[in-house]
Amino acid sequence: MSNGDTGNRMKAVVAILIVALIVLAILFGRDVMNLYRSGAFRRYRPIGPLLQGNGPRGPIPDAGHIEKWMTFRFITVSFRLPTDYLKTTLDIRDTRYPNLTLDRYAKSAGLDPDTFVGAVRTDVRGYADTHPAGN
Amino acid sequence: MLITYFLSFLLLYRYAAIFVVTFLSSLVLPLPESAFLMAAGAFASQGYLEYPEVIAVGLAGTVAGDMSSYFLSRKYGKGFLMKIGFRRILRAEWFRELEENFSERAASSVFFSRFAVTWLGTTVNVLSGLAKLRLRTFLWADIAGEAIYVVAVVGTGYVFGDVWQNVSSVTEYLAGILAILMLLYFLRLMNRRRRRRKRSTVDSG
Repeated sequence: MSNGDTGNRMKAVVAILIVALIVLAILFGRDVMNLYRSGAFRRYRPIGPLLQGNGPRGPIPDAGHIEKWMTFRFITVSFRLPTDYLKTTLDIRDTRYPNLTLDRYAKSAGLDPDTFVGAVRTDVRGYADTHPAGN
Repeated sequence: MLITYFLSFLLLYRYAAIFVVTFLSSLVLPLPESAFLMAAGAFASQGYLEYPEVIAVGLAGTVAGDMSSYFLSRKYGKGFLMKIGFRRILRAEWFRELEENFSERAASSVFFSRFAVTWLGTTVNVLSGLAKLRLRTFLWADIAGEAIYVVAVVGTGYVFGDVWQNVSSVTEYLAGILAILMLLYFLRLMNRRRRRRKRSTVDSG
């Protein structure tokens, strides 16, 4: 391959990379603006205490964030529920509780996973209404 | 979505899951490591995991994965890579140039590929092994680069908490921008080297 060919090929690669860079920069800017409008930047917590060892726990999330892939243990910890709260209210007898995902439990119990997630959200909201600061 | 399996895996096996995913991702598998570590940071902010432990285990997993691919390529070398189908790439002119450029800037290549061009990480590990880069040089550059990467990604997840998924796509675009800038810089270096070689050939002729 001649030097001229190599040079032209190099220029073509550089041109493609610059176009890709511009596209990525536009997408990046758009997503940052969307994040800003959604208020995500106002939700951040100071990182200072974290650097000293233990940071403060974040606020209790909205129950609408509960998803099928979450485990009962994770929901109990992050929504600050008593350890057996979900087990009692949802009448769960699976021995793997709380280290079990909602999806896997619903399937093993013959329930529709989406309906079950809805029931968990309702229970968690019910607890949050009576205990705003958590357990 | 694939990421949800990884998130369940993280919630079920916690620190062991962090080690396994970061190790395999650094070794060779294209796993969603950044999103995974960001999620671990978010879970730490909700009290499910401990932030220092997430950092320590994440760093241990990535460094162990990098060291493994470095040792494998150092031990088995080009002969093995040629046998498993990389013959054409290894004999290509551009690969030879890449090797020469890499040898000149091995430590900085290892360091920057850990956090600025993460998708090149495994390639750089293999090149380091093939170039028989000194273990100590590789190790320190690797630890320094991975520490920046792990602290930045886990820290972002921690800071943004339950909205980490919205932030994840932004960081992916940012990683893409950094990667292209690094590639442009690298092409400039290659071009300069080629011109220098051409000039010295003309002078000697």
